[in-house]
Order: sequence, then structure tokens, then C-alpha cells
Amino acid sequence: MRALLAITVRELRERWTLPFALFVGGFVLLFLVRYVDITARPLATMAAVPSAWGIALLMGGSVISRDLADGRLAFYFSRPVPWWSIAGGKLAAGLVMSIVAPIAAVLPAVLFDWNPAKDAEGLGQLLTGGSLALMLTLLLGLVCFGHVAGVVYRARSTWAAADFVLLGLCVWGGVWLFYAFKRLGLVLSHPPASLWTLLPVFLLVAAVPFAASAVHVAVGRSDMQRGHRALSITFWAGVLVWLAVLLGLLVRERAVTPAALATRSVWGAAPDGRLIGISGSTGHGGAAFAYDTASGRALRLGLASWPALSADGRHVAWVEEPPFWRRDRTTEVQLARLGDGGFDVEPVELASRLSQEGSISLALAPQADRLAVVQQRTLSLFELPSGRAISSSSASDGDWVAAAFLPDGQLRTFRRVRPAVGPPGAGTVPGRIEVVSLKGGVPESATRLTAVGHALLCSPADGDLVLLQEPPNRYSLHDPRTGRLVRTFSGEDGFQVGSARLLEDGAVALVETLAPTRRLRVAREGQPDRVAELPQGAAFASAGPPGLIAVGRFEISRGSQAGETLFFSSDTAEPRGREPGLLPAFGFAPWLSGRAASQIFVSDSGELVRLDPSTRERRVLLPAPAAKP
Amino acid sequence: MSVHGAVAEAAADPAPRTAAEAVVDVRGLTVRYGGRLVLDSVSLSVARGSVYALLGRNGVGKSSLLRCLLGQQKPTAGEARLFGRSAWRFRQSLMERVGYVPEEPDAPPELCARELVLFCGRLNVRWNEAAVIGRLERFLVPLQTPFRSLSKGQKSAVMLALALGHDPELLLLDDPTLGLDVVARRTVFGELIGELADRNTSVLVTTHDLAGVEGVADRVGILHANRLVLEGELEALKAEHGASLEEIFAAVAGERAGDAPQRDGSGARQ
Repeated sequence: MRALLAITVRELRERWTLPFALFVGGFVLLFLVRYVDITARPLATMAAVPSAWGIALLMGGSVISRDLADGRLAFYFSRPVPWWSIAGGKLAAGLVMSIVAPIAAVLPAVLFDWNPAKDAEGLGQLLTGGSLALMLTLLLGLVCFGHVAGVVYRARSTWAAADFVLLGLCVWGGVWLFYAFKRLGLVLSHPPASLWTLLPVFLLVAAVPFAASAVHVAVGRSDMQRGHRALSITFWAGVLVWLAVLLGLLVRERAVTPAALATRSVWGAAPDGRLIGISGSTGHGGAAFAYDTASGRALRLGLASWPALSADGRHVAWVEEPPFWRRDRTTEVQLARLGDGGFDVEPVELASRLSQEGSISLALAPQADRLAVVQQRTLSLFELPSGRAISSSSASDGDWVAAAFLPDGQLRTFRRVRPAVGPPGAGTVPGRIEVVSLKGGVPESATRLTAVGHALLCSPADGDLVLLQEPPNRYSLHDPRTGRLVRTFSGEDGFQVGSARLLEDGAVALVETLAPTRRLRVAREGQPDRVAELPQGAAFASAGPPGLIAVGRFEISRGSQAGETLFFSSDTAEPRGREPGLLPAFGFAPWLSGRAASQIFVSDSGELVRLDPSTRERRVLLPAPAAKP
Repeated sequence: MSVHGAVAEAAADPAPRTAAEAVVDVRGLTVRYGGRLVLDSVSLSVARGSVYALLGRNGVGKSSLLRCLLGQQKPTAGEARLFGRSAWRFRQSLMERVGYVPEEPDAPPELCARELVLFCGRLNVRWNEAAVIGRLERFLVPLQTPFRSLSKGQKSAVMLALALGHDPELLLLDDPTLGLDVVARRTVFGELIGELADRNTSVLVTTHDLAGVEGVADRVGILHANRLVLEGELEALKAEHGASLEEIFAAVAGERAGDAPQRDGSGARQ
């Protein structure tokens, strides 16, 4: 250990000018930011992280391999020093330098903007939140990876050819796996709840270059060629093991069925209720399925877009974005048809590639002969199954928000027009919602709705009436064909609207709240409102069997949920019975209506249940998710 | 016996063996770098307390042999043993008993001589700091000058002083006088002789400085074409052949067509 420390100190001493230069650079930064409107501290902190990575790579790339190439590593090996002291001392110096040097760069900004209480709090979070441990592991991995790269570069042996071939293969394999995981929704898009959970993964990743570095020094000693060979074999073996593990994970994830989803929600349903869309968590990522409730068959869907179900209840479509190395290919749509033998999937290559505009949602024509692709800036219409482009419409000064095919084949779209600064003296032009109808792919008419520009559509887009939510607690009912404002709902008698649901017959069911009281209000044009008191507990309105409104009521206690569905007459709001242990599955999908929405329920244990509207008989469509051990 | 006759004898029956007493014992050592043969079945031994000079032209594998003895190079075949133990397997413990002076001084360049003494003290189990400083002062090496700024002779002197700092039982010297002027050479070999006089230190030295080793070496081995082609007691060889070491070396390792040693099918010289 004495030798290890001596070597570490010597390596750091050789490079003492680096942190010193960065420290001086930190002061220069302080001086420079006085002339621009930037605070030095966040800028320095932001620059420190990539600096640490770069220094780790550079230190790793030189700390051993440079001595080796210069013939100076023999100095250590001709003394009674164990190999691990030589490797450990030098790599530790790389790690320490990659920490110390960025800190030196940030130090002037910290001293200039001294805030001990805030700094202590930040340091505490860094230590207990896991980010420091992750950073250290990452830096160690980078130092060792830098060493691997440095040896390959400096050894210039024939093994380098094998290294480059394997590098190419592994990069290709890695990219392929990345896209495969991305298609399955397994790519992390947000940090996990606790960074400590990532630490084992980081450690295992860093272990590969670390092991290669250790083996290199242990086996190669001062022999560059022999060491390179040992390093390459260890490093690539580790990388290949990692790829094999990822491949195994991919195979396992691909085999996931709807029944195996740890959590699940129902995102859509065909009008007849046979084909439903289920999404949920596999435990590692997300998955979406089209599920045939009649046969129990399921089809896994890609996550590049919101899928769409056709009104005929037999088709589902979703987008597959080609990977970046297939720039020659346009966007591909998978069109699946549900037949007697199961799903028949047909890939359709669209005539043009979709632009990169964030989320994509789809609308499928009733007979699945046309597809509308809704993106923020562009609305594209394609013919199926040829993929021929029919039209493409720009949102000009707004965004496309939704689209639906009407029974007559017309495409109804909703466009949000952004607020704008008007002519001098006119003030601001507020945003608005417009209903644009397209026939043959050409915009035919545009109807303005009397609602705020940031209103959200919360009813089916193809109905005779549409319900908009105007955050936070106001709802408005509109006739999309004429633009007539039918009614607004913002709570009465001091109650606030909690949730609202447009029913198939044009009535609106609202759950209103005045803590701790909740009540159901049924509003129908031309008739007085009907009100019914609701028991305690959170509640939401949903579609029920014909003539009924379903109200889901639930309580969450110690992580478990207990719910029930209360039925009310949609005419009189009088109670019509209850179903304990069940909640409407589409309670949180207000854009759905119809028979499916009134039949599918979720039990307290997570089962997906079809409830016969007349006999109240329950049929389990999907069993409850397996309990976590 | 002629020089060529002695060569044939050495090839047929390499290095007289006193393995039990030998501090260096090399048997059938073969080293290849990829497809390139560097040492071909070399065998030799160095007895305790003796000085062995390994001679040979550039590129015949002298440094590779030393690297094997230092446990830094794994032999392709054969073995290199120090004090009866495998140099490759027991490198760390063996280096406590070995001092090494490389052909190219390889100490950390930014450290001055005094810092190098302290640094090496932390790398060695036994370390006689006062003796090393004293030796450096005798060599007239400036103690505060970074190693990189020292002259070639001063660097070699520092390396020699560091190699002797833990009172090694065996000194391995890889052409320590290469590029040194006459005075510096005398200093190196003078120190070597002084060290030998002080203690029963064994020495294996590779060198081109034939005149320098002539006064100190007990045994001589000549490497040529990757093989040990001649070996024996220095004085006995000189008396036997009636020639100086330089003349013997020129005859064995010379490039003149008439002097170039010939090989038979078995690899032995004739």
C-alpha cells in the first residue's frame, strides 16, 4: 500500500500544473462573465462534469501506456513492487486528478458566490442521493477505458486490427440493441427514483475496462505486445458478455405478454369492445399491446407513436421509425388486421419520411384504408395499404392536437392556434381552438370554438359534441360543426368540477367536489341538471351501460387500492346499484366512449374484467399481475 | 584450442552448471516477439560473487535476456531463474535482492536525484538512503536537478546509485556505460569494483565496453545470432586463445565474411 500511495502521489505531482491551470481558468471565467449576462457558478459547475470526463479519459490514456511506450514502466517492475500497486497507483492518480482538476476549476466561482448553507445541503444530497457514487464509478470506468484506448493506440501491434474489427462489431451490436430496446420502450427517458439502483449497473460496466487494465499490467508487465494481447482479450470478453446479457434481456422482454405486465392501463378500444389496447410496465420499461378479448391473442406494438384502432374494430396501426443508419428508408407503418387466425401484420412503407417533431399520434379510417399522422407542425394523410401520400398540411401559426375520421370518411382535426402579439396598440391576440375539416386531404372548413387556446380535448374527437377542459377546473361543451358553445361547467354552489365525461347520448356527467362532499351532476341540453350525493372517497365519472353512468370511487390505503363502481341513471341521476371491487378501465381515458368503455373494468387486484351490462356477470380477460416478491 | 573450437564446445555443452550455487540460472531460454526470434535456447549461469560479462552486438537479445531475468518478459520457452526461483513467477520478492541499471535511464523525469532517493525508498523494502546520497555525492551528481536535466553520465550514475540502494545480492547491468565518456565509464566500473570489494555481490553485465569489463569480469559469454556461442572464464579464454577479449569477440561476432561463424545442421558452430 505504501508503494501504491507513493506512485499515486508521484503521478499527481507530475501533473500538478493541470488543476492549477484550471483554477486560474476559473478566475478568468469569473472575469469574463462580468461582461455577459451569465452567472459564473452554474456555468462553471456545468462545465466541470464534461471536464471531469475528458480528464479521466486523458489521464487513463497516458498514465500507464505513455510510460510503457517510453520504456519507463520497467523502472517500477525492476523494484519489489506488486503489479497491483503499479496499476492501482497510476489509475488512482487518474481518478483523483479527474476529480480534483474540475473542482479546482469550479472553486473560484464557489468562493465568489459563497453560500455555506446551500453548499452543505447540496453536498449532502450529492453524498446521500447516489450521484457522487455514480460519478466516481463512471470516472473510474472512463479512466480505465482511456487506458484501454491508450494501449491500443500506443502498442501499434497486429492485435489492434482485431481491436478495431471487434470495436466495429460491438458498436454495431450496441446500436442494434439500443434500437431494439428503444422499440420496446426500455430506454431510460427519465432518471430513476433512486440513483443508487443504477450503481450496480455502473459498477459492472466499469468493471470491464478496469479488469482489462488490471490484467494488462499483471500479465503484460513492461511488455507492450503481451500486455496488449491480454488487455484486448479481457476487454472484449467483458464487452461481449455485456452484449450477451443485454441480448438475453432483450429476448426476455420480447417474450412479455399482457398478462405479465406489472402495471397496466387500457388506452383504447374498438367500438365493439373486442379489440382493446393495453399498455403497462414490464418492470424494466413500457410495453403496448393490441389485445383480442375474444381469443386472448395479443400483438406487441411499437412505441414510436400512439397506436390507432379502426372503427371497424379489426385494425390497429402504429409507426416504426427506421434507425438512423437506414436513412434510405422512409417511415414504416405496421398495419395489423385481426382475423380468425389471429393478427396479420403488414408493413407499409410511407411514401415520405415523417419529420422529427416529437410525439406522433395516429387516426385510422373506419375501414383502415387511410391513415392520418398527427404531428405538432404537420398533419399527413396516407393511403393504405399502398403508403401513398394524399396530403400534408402545415399547422402554420398553431399546432395540430387531434384527428379523427367521421363515419362519412371526412377527417376532423383540431388545431390549436397560438397566442400572438397583435398590431401596434391592439395588444395580444389570444390563442384559440379550431376544428378543421378535410375532405380528400384538403382542408375544407375551419370552425373556431369559444374556448381558451390551451384547452384540452377530453371527449371523442368524432362526436356530434365535444367536451373541452379549460384548466384548471372549467369544462365547455361545443358543437364542432357549427362552433356553437353549448354550455360551460365551472362548478356551482361553491363546488368545483373534479372530472367530466361526455356520454354517448350527449349528456355530461360531472363529479363535483366541496371537501369533504362529492356529488354527481348530470347535465343535458334543454333539461334541468340532476344531482346525486356521492359517498366519501376519490371519484370520477365514466360511461356506463346504456342508460347508466358509472362512477368509479376508490381509496388508497397503505399502497393497496380499494374501489367500487356506482351506477346512476343517466336521466334522473338516481342510484342503480354498485359493483364492489371494480373500477371503470377507461376512467382516465375520456377520449373513449361507446360499448367498450362501458364494459371493461379493472379489479382491485389488477384483473381486467368484462362486465355484462344486463346480467352483471364478470369475465376475467386478463389475470392480476404477478405480485412482486 | 582455437576460438572456433571453443565455440563448438560451448554450443554442445553450454555453461558449466553449478546450479545450487548459481544466483542466475538460465536454461534453454527462447524469446520470440511475434514471429521474430530474439533468443534461441540460451543457457548460462552466474555463480555467487562472480562478475559475468555478456557480450554481443546490437540486437542479439542481451536486453531481452535481462528482461527475462527481471521477470518482465515471459520466455517463449525455457526458464530464467534467480536464486533458484522463477524470475517470472517470483518477480516481486526476487527484486528485493536484485539491483538493475537499464540501458536507457528510465527514472521519473520530473524528480530530482534527492526525490528519487526518497521515492525509491518507498518502493523498496530495505533502503539505505544515506548510502545512496553518499554515492551520488561521490559521483558529483547535483541532487536538486530534475532527472531529465541531468547529463547522460549523471543519469547512469543515478541509476547505479539507486540500483545499489537496497544492498542487492545481484546486480544486473544493461550496457551501463553506453554513450558515456571515458571518465564516466571509469566512474561506473570503479563504483562497481568498489561495491564488489565491499560485499559478495554477483554481477551480470551486458556491455560493448570490452576494455571496461576486462578488468572486472570473471566469466564471459558471447551472444551471436540469438545464441550463446562462446562462454568461459575470461582469463582462461584469453590464455587459451592467446588473444585479447576484443580479438576473441571480433572473431566470434565479427561480420567479416571469413570471421563469420558457420552453423551446421544441429545449430552448433564449427
